[in-house]
Amino acid sequence: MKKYKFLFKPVFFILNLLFATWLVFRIEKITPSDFGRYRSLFEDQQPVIQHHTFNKKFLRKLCLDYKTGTLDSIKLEQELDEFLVRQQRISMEK
Amino acid sequence: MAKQFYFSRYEKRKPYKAIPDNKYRTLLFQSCGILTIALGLAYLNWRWQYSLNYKALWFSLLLVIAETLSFFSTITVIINFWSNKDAKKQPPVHYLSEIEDLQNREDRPVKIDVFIATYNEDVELVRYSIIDAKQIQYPFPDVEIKIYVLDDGRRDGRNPAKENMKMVAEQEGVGYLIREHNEGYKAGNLKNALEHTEGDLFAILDADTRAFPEFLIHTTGYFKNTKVAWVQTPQWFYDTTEGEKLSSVIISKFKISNKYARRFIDFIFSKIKVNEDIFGNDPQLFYDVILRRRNFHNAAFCCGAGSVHRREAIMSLAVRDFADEIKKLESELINKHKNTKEIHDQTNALLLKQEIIPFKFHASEDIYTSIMLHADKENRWESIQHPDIECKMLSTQDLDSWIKQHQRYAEGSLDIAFKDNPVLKKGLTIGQKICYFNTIWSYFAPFWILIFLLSPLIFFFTLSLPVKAYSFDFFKYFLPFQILNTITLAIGCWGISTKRGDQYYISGFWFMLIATFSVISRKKVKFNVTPKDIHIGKNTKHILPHLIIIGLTLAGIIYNIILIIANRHPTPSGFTANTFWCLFNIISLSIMIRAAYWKPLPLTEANQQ
Repeated sequence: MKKYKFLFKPVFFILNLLFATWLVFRIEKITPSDFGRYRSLFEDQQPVIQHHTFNKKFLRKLCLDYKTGTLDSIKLEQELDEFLVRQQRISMEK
Repeated sequence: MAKQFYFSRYEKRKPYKAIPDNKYRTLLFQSCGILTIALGLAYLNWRWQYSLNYKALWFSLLLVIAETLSFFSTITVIINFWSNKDAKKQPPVHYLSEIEDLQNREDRPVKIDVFIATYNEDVELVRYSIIDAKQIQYPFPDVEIKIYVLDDGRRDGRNPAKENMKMVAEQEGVGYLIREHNEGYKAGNLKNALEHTEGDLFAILDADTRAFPEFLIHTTGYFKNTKVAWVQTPQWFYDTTEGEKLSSVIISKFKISNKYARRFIDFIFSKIKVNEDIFGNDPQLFYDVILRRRNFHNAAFCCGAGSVHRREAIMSLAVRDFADEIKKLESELINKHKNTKEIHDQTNALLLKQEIIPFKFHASEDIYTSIMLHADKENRWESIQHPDIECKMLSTQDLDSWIKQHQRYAEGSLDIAFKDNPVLKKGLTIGQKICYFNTIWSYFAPFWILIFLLSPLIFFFTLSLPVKAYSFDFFKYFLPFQILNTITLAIGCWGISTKRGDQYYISGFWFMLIATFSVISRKKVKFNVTPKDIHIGKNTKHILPHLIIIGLTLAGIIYNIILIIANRHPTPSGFTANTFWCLFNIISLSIMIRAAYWKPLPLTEANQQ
């Protein structure tokens, strides 16, 4: 066995490469890389992810309000128009 | 009783056996080598054409350039390792006619000189080398073997503050040669010896080189091929550090004295051995693979100690250089429109002043002289790397000495590259040019190694990837190339562990960078004599760059983990890939940190090994 001790390093290296590759693919499947949406901790701007969460919550509230009747179709139309204009402005600012 | 040194405990070590040649393995290596080059080209083609991340172009380009430069190394290494062609071993030389065309001169038994070059080494250490040189056997009693101590330290008793080397030489009954200056360092010392001796063949040993009794029996036979200029034998460092029990290291480092704690640590860690060849001095990879494979290209260069030379070859080179120099000076005088008498007088004056220099006066005199001999178109000299160990030597025993030694190698080789580049040298074959280029190119490796070390850091702190994404495409090209490259090198170096060599290749980046800048800024390359004893301490300064890179890497990993937990990381897969990458970097860099703080275990601990 000692005769083949020299193979330990290359074998270890290759196995590591294969394991790292498998892990990268696995993670990519679960959480795909998404450049541009996220920002690092050092940047001042509000992370986009929070903006998206806010939008999602807002839209859900509109749906709920409409469903429960607290919002009529005209008001919903108005709110959606405002929302879309706001989104357009944000994307233009970007 | 002979003086005891630290290496006394290694005296009984046996040298390694040269790896036997195997034509099937060579064939397999060649096939894998060609495939590696093909896959490497495909990978780099894809990298340059399709993978650049334009959002971080500077980073992307930096890495792809580093990868390309590194790939050149891979190609030259494959060419270097291409085939093995050991020269045929022959019985030792008896008569001069066996190694030279006498041209009507009278035949006689061959004369052999053994030179032991010294400068400031302990005279008792040199005594060991002299005693072993005196044990050198030869089957023909009429062949004269003379031993000379070449003392460049002028320790002939004139200075009472210095040890007396001359006295030791006299006590041992060997010749003693000195000169009044140190011009040309070791090359100058050898020049002085050649002026005072007359051996047809001469062996070069360093102060710490201990020749085995069969040293000349196994090497002189090669000179029957009249084209052979020198034979280099492997320099076996018999004092490389032994593996130490991890438990002993822990107990010693943390000064654990409690009996039960010691037993517990011993129980847990005693099976693990660490610090074997901590300074990466084991030369087997270099002599048994790199240099030995160069026999195929007739490009094995001389490494000084442990070599045997044909005086005729080295002197013919010196005389030719001398004549060229005189011709150059003469033409300068003609250009200055001097009259014939003036030219004649001045040339004569120059002839008296100019010296015949056998070994090039250079910090890397051995490799430089090898290049010149290989490039000699008239004589077409051949060199031989003898596969078996015929002598033993001492290695550096502390990081400071290791760095000085390797910086000198690097500065010497780079100086040759800038002043008299073998790639542009007329007279060398393509194979020789590639092999010398491979040696020089390896000293430029720190440039791409630095990029490889910094790339994960750049990712950790900028969150930019050097490739568009870790897609299937990336791994489709990257993995086969990397895996096959590893397999090819493992086949090429079959039987030899490359672990330490690889670690030092990476962790030595800083000193090689310093050496490169030193040569570029035209600082004079100094010939530092490698210390032959242990100097503990003064090592922390050497590992600051390593500590900084490791520290930043760990900080980067922590920062990225925080981002992942906060769900603000753009590419967790990128983080995974870079973490694996930098783990290898850390393992490689850490060897130098361990070496910096290594000291031999106290005898009590070592005895328990």
